[in-house]
Amino acid sequence: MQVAIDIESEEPLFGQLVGQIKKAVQAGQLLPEQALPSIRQLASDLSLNNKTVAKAYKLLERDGVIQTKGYRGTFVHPNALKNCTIDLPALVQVKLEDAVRASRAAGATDSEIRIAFSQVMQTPNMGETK
Amino acid sequence: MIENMPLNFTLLIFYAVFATQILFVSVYLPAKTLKRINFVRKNYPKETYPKLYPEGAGGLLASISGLRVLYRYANYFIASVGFVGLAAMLITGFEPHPLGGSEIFVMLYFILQILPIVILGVSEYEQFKGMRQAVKKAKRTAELAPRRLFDFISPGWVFGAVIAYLCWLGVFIYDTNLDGPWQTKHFVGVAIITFLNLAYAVYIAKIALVKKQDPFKATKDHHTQVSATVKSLVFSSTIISLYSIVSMAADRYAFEIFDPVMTSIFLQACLLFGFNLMLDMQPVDELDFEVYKNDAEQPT
Repeated sequence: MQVAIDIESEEPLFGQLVGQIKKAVQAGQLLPEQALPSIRQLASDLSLNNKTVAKAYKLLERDGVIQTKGYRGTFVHPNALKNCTIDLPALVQVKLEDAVRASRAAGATDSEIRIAFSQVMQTPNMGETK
Repeated sequence: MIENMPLNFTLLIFYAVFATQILFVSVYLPAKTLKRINFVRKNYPKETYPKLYPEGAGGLLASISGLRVLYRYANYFIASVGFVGLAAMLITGFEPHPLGGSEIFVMLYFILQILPIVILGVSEYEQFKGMRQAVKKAKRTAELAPRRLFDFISPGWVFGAVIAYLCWLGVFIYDTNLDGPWQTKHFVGVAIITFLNLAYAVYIAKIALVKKQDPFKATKDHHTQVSATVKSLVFSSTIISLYSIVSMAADRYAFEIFDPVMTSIFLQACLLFGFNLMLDMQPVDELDFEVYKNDAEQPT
């Protein structure tokens, strides 16, 4: 199973990696518990910065597609196939729509909602899970 | 014991081993390497396999012919020097010194013998460097599978190398203690062998687990290449430990007259299980050269 990176593509490099690994999981090319290369190995093979691959792995781990088992390395998550189907951006949109709808119902103007949203986003550590 | 051994027999062994060193290092290995280079030149030209000849490799294509000639004639010259030296030893009745020290000639000649291989190595390094520079502009691919040390070599061989090193360390400490307090040369001796093994370990980690030297190489071929390199380094480490043990034993039991023979065998073994093993493990007619074609021409 290979990943291919196009550095001239408009899509960010880490995004290409995330997308291809998710597609491979959905296509059954990567199976649950299957070992993945280390960040250094993949970065070296693709001539990328370690941080780029680390960012892709972090996002995949957040989405439950891969999991890191300490010194043993990185593996495909046992529930990766199910977790791959979760569209996080769509989920965020639904939540925001609910919030906007409730705010409007309470009488808030769009301008007030935008200002409030901006302030919430600027609040340090807002909504971060520890 | 040595006194009772006919000196002619000792000499005969020395001459035979030295002749083998000349033939193996300066005749057999160069012939094998040139056959390989010629095969690639003839069957995989730049027009069809451009990625094999990167532009940034210091005019590699232009220098291949020159490199071939240099390699061939340098080895002819070195082999001639060896045979003339051997003939001179036979004529003058040269005998290895009973207290050792004659092995320096074997070592110096060996250094001369491996110079053409070093030139080849530098040329190969330049070629890979040029390939890596070229690939920066292209689409990049990587295998989504981890590389681990024991994918390339059996744990038994690594275990054997570690045991050989520990045995050498034990024998060295025991042998040194017999002669009284440790001196600077003893610490240097331990440090050299230990650092050499550590350097091997670091290099193995670099090539096996991280660095892909030839970015185009097919996965299967890359695996074989790394496996050959890892094996040659592990075998080399084992051979160095064993040679050091035998050398110490020879010094302790007054067999120094065999030092040149043992040194020559050791150096030949290093090449047999190093460079020669790497050539044998990667038969040129089994390598996948399709990866060096232009992207549009590669089979999908």
